Amino acid sequence: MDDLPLDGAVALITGASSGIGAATARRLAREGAAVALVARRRNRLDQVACDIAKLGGEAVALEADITEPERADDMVQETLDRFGRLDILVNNAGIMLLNSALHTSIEEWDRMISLNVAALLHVTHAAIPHLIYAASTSPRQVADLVNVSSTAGRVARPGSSVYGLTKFGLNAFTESLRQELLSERVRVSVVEPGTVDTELVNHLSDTTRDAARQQIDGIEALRPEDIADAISYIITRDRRVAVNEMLVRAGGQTW
Amino acid sequence: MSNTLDGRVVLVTGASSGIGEATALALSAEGARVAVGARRADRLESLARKAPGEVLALDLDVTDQESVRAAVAATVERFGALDILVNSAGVMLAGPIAGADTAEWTRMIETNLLGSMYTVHAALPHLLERKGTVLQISSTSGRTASAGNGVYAATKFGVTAFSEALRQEVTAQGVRVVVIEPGFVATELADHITDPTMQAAAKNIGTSMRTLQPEDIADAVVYAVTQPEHVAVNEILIRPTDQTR
Ligand SMILES: NC(=O)c1ccc[n+]([C@@H]2O[C@H](COP(=O)([O-])OP(=O)(O)OC[C@H]3O[C@@H](n4cnc5c(N)ncnc54)[C@H](OP(=O)(O)O)[C@@H]3O)[C@@H](O)[C@H]2O)c1
Ligand SMILES: NC(=O)c1ccc[n+]([C@@H]2O[C@H](COP(=O)([O-])OP(=O)(O)OC[C@H]3O[C@@H](n4cnc5c(N)ncnc54)[C@H](OP(=O)(O)O)[C@@H]3O)[C@@H](O)[C@H]2O)c1
Repeated sequence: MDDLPLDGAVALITGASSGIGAATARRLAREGAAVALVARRRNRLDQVACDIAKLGGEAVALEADITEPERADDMVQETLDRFGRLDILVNNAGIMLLNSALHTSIEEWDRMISLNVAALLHVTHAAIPHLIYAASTSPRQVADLVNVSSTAGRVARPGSSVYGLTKFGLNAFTESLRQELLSERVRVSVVEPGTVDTELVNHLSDTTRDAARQQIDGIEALRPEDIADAISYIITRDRRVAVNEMLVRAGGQTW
Repeated sequence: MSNTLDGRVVLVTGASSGIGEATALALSAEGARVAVGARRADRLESLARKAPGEVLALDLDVTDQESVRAAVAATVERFGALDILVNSAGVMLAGPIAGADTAEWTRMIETNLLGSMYTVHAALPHLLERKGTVLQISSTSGRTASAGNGVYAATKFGVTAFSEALRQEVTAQGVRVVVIEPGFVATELADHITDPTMQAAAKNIGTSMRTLQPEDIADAVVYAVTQPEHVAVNEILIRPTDQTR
């Protein structure tokens, strides 16, 4: 048991109640990390935490709506209270409300900005000093900040204007932070998944959801575990190796 | 543990040193049958002796289309198919644009850009048949250009553009395209730089940080090419933790 790659490390994962976040939490726990799970749906978080505990891992469920700024800060503090440190932050919570600028409501745009951007910034800002401290004190001698972006952070399309805005912005934020924090041995990286089979599209209106589903008809989507695997690959590299960016699409995905 | 690439056939260009050599060895360790190409035959022979699996050493000059076609044909003749092409052959003759010896530009473009296009062109029919993989060793210089590496960066930006178009063309037919963009790796690459200032700068980078080792890139290659069919790792940007640009 002692030589799991993330033994002794503590990871905070936002959006850990479903999809990519839940899979990543399970995976990092399997690699030895103690994990703090953040999302709004308490019962779903408890289920993930329970699964992890059954496999001998350590997890704590932290129920919060991180679009409330104080709650975002609290998440980092509650992780420290519980586990004493923070080595890994995975910024994963996100929402994708596809729609045309003409037909969308400004409320949909606001929701994406407040979760994909503002909440992410609040959690990150609170976490950075602790990541730096972890890098200088842990046996791994490195800390990790992994942001979950999207292919929509690389290519813009109709209907994804503001979703793309949040993900392009996240890529720029990631690259600046990477340059700022490398001397502190905090690795900052970004993962850009293509189509993953998660609950992300459940929040779309019926027509946009049908259109989104039609586009992926006939291709085998990625599973959340595939992205968890990429994130795990990044975090478990030797401390001198920084995998800055991974763009991972579904095998049949041309766009 | 079963070998993940059992029976797969790989062709690695630029396998006589550095990243190509480490990659050929890593893929061989995963069970692949590996054809290795470069100009220095003696280096390929010693690689073949070191490799755990079956290795076919091929005289290959990627700037010569005939040579490229012959290497692909020899690979398929020997192993019966081609599943994975790894383009690692490359040269980096860094130096400022003003006053450059343009023969060096020609060499870089012919090796890094045209050479990798020729190998894709020759290999593609076989890769389509096997729903195979094209894996390009590009560079951080394919993402950001900087003073002193204009032409090298142009070749690597070119590789990225070519690869993205190729990806869109062949994805529906089951071929996956992977671009790996390494930062500074300790290899022979910088030894060939003729400009003394650039040569010194490269040496300096090499000693000022914990550089990547060729095996780190080989590891990323293995990660990408051993994914299940429904996963396409299209791009991996990988730097030494200490490297800023
Ligand atoms: N699925 C894809 O095809 C795909 C592709 C590229 C990128 N991504 C990105 O992957 C990330 C994860 O998405 P997913 O696909 O796994 O979708 P998902 O299953 O819908 O997961 C989203 C997660 O975010 C959480 N969340 C939403 N609002 C929140 C809030 N206000 N406070 C705290 N947590 C909140 C959700 O939990 P609660 O509802 O319980 O709060 C859930 O755990 C997102 O950033 C998304 O943009 C997904
Ligand atoms: N080292 C780095 O920091 C770094 C960073 C990013 C990207 N890369 C890329 O990685 C690739 C491999 O470079 P490396 O770092 O491993 O350098 P290396 O040790 O110098 O290897 C270069 C390889 O290319 C081969 N080659 C050169 N010209 C050739 C030709 N005309 N035909 C066939 N093979 C040829 C060389 O073999 P022969 O001389 O025997 O033909 C050698 O095997 C290159 O594409 C390079 O641009 C390297």
